[in-house]
Amino acid sequence: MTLKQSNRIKTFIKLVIVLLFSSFGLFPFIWLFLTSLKPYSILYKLPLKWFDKAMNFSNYLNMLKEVPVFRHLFITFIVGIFVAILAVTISTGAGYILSHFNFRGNFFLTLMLLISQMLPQIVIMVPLYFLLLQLGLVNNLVGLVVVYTGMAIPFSTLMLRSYIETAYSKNLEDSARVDGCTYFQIYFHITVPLCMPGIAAVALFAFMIIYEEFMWANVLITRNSIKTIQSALYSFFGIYSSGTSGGIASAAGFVVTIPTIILAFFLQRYLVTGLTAGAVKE
Amino acid sequence: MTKNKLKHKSDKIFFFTTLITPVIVALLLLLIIPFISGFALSFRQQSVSDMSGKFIGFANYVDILSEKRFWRVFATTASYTLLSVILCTFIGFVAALCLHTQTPFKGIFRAINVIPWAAPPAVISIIWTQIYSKAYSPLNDILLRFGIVRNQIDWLGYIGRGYTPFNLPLLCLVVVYGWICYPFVMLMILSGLQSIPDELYEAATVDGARDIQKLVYITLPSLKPFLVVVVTLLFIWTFQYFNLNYMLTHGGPRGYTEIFSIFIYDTAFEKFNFGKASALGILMSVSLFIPSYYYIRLALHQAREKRLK
Repeated sequence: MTLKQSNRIKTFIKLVIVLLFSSFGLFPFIWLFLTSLKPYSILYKLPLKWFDKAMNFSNYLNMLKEVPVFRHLFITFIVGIFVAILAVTISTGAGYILSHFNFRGNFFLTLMLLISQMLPQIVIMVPLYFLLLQLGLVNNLVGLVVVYTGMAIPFSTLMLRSYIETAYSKNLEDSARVDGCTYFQIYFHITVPLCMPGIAAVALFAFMIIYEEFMWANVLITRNSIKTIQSALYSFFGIYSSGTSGGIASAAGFVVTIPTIILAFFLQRYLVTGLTAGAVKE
Repeated sequence: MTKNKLKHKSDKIFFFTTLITPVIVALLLLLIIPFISGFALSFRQQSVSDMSGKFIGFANYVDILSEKRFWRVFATTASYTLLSVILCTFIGFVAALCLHTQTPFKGIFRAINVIPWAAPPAVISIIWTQIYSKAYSPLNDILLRFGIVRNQIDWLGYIGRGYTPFNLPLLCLVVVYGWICYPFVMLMILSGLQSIPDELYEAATVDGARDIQKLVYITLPSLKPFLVVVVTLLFIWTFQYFNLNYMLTHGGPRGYTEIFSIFIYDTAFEKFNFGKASALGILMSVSLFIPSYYYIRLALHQAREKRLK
């Protein structure tokens, strides 16, 4: 066997393995799409049909009539935008301080951020729920925004700290200071504009985390009309709500997945660094 | 000159305080105070039958630790975590190795394999509810067509001969978790593979090393730091995982798939025993102390190294 032949065999084996796990990854989505195209009449008929002539987009039209998916998407977008702006505003400042100032609490604050990032949300859920109940923020979107901002701050600050550290040379600040700029001027006229790509990415990342959050949304908002998209989908199509067609559920699921795939495409680099903020060298 | 310096100093302090206060307030209000008050709550009687909040010492803890259900939940969580971490790491590792080197359509395959990681949980539950259903499941359909099984399997409702930590519904949930998380491992390992210099492999080729030898003596040792981070993080996440286990089985059938977070949720928001739920939360944090400590030490160490460079 020549070298060329053996290389060809190797590539072939590799391709088979790639196809194997890629179909494991993709098959569930293909099934979702196929189901979303099947009208009620063929969906629940045995033996199961994978393809059928009668497949059409009627489920998508029925979804618009029966389930207010876009209403819940809108609510989620509003919540997500508020949280992203709040979290990024706070975190950019904190990240700047952590990367540019040597003070005694620097290490301690970083440690606190890492601990809060590791702390399971369900552990602080009970006491925080109690607190929000007393403040009248249960079943209130403001409460959700507050909780989500607290959730987003640790990873956004850690991400922005390491971004700001390497975004531009410190000489730039020094010469601005010689020219008489105050700290605020340097921050708003140099740091923020130069770090805008990083800030935007972190904001999008925070938005994505909020868009996919389910546990808090499920506990905090029990009134159907103001649920965010994940808990709304769950209450429409979850295990306790039989009766709705799997076709409509799949159509809604497909629509709700699209924004996340678009976001993931833009954020590919940050999907990992965001979650491991600090622990992996880039 | 001194006046100028003084002004500069006060400007600096004002700037520093303005930027650092919000993050400290947020951390205190939303993470640290809740955690401490949760700790305090765990020593109190606070349930739907008795909202008095009176101090009862370790009664909640004794109650939990003497309960058979708790130890079963612990065993289930341990088995779920272990199996999930192994599955994700294995698939993600193989995927990264295959997609790192020249493979046809590399870019497309990489993009495809990120999608499960990005998909929202409610949608994942819609999909897998169908796959694991009894009558209309594509999985059963394939198995029946190829004659691997004779009857449809009720994947998430299979009771069998009694509880074991490796029961079928739990294994099904492990597969779902593996499906969600292998892209994360893949991306991490891919970035690790990029950091290995090509010269190492070239030198090995000159020395006549075979592919397996290259994998064992070059790739694996170079990837060790990445693998350590991946496994530690996955362990911490899986141990506290909630979403899909709640959405797909709610801990059932008969508590077979009840893991730690579901137990806490059930105690707090379905049985309304907040004192006991807080005690459970503290027990969960204690169980996660060692891996979290390890991870945080790693993160701080690397942050310092980066700064020194």
